[in-house]
Amino acid sequence: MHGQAVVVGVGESEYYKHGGSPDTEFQLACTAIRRAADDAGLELKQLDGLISYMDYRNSPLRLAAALGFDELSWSATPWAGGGNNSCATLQFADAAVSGGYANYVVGFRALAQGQFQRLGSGAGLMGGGAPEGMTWGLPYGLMTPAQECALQTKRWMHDHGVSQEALASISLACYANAQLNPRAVRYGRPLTREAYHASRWIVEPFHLYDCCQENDGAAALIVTTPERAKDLPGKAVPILATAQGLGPEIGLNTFQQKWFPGMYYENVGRMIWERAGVKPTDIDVLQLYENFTGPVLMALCEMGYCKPEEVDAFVADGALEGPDARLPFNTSGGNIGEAYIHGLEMVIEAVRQSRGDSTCQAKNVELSLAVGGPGYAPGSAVLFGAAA
Amino acid sequence: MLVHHAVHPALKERVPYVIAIVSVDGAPGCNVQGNIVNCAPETAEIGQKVRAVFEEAEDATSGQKFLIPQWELAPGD
Repeated sequence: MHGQAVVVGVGESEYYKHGGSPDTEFQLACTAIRRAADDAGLELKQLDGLISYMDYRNSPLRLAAALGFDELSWSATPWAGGGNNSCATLQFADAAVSGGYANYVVGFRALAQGQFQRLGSGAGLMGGGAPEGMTWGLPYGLMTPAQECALQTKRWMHDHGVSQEALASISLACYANAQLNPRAVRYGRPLTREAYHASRWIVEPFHLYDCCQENDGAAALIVTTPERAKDLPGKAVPILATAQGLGPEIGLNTFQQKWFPGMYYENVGRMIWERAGVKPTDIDVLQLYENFTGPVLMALCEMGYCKPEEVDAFVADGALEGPDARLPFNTSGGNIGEAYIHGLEMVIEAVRQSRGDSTCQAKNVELSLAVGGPGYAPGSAVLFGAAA
Repeated sequence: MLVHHAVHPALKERVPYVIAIVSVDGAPGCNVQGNIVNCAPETAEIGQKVRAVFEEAEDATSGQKFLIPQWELAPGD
């Protein structure tokens, strides 16, 4: 176990439907960070590190100035992809405070998709801004994460006999848990299995409800050392293990035979289990990033929860719904039910579970795991212990 | 895989269309991306044999024309 760093504060803006925020993205980021500092009992000027991912708009330099940091001594961003790196922010923050390079490091993500473009829109790729590798797909109308993940999922379901009902169960669990969470954008909007099947196809095998929302909002967490945390009023949640990485040849192209179909989470799972000395069945509560439902099932299998042939049974009969589920899962509603703040809101939920203040609180949480977005490498994950 | 939602205005006339990953005979590990063309989209299935056909495409900015490989169901399959 690691245990050299702890989360001492979390903060969020209001969550909105995409385009619904009255504030700019930069303002949302400032709000989330300010609330995280309040939650930790810190003054803004004490913060000295900023980490985000796939954020090329809210520079740590401007944020540190706007928020009144005395000093910015650590800024970093993990490379490649998007929500796959949601948990890598915690690894970088852990490294910064454990190494003595900064005292109070913020991991944050802000999105205002009305002010800027929607992430799931393919339109931005046509202006020469396509990430390397994606240009091969553009002439064929292959230009969005939904399509890329659907290709992987379709083949994987075909190979292993996985049913559409398994996909539905992921979405239904997120919606059910969101009904307990007043912050959730889909709060008060329950989903039935019938409505799931009746919803329009986006790209087969994904119905509308297999896809996460797109939202405006911001989320932030503050990491420090256990020693510094002793002087703060709130609970400290230990970071027991983190992982970020990709296996051999994964970085070359999305659809190579060796990794197709695949979500690139085998190695991330192995690293987490080895570093923490635990196994999947030890985990008390799991937040697993749903960009789309299919990748969740695939990542569950790659991380060792079950075999693909067993996944239908693994998620059936409400196995993931509510605080008393067989495996309490995406307890805030996740990207599908709460809000899509690029998955960082799910890392906050993992911290809440450790602190015991979730709206869908699992019992006796000793191990709370958050897993970043499957389907894009490098993957990342962070395991929290019980708060002290 | 059948795409129903047109994510770009240029694709509005094309949906529903099929995107496939094609494994090339004689080149193990070589998977290429393309569309399955010249058939009713819902008839394309995983495992079917396909053959390459070439389609003219144009770069919208430069006007440069080039050929891109596409795939149609192989006869007799």
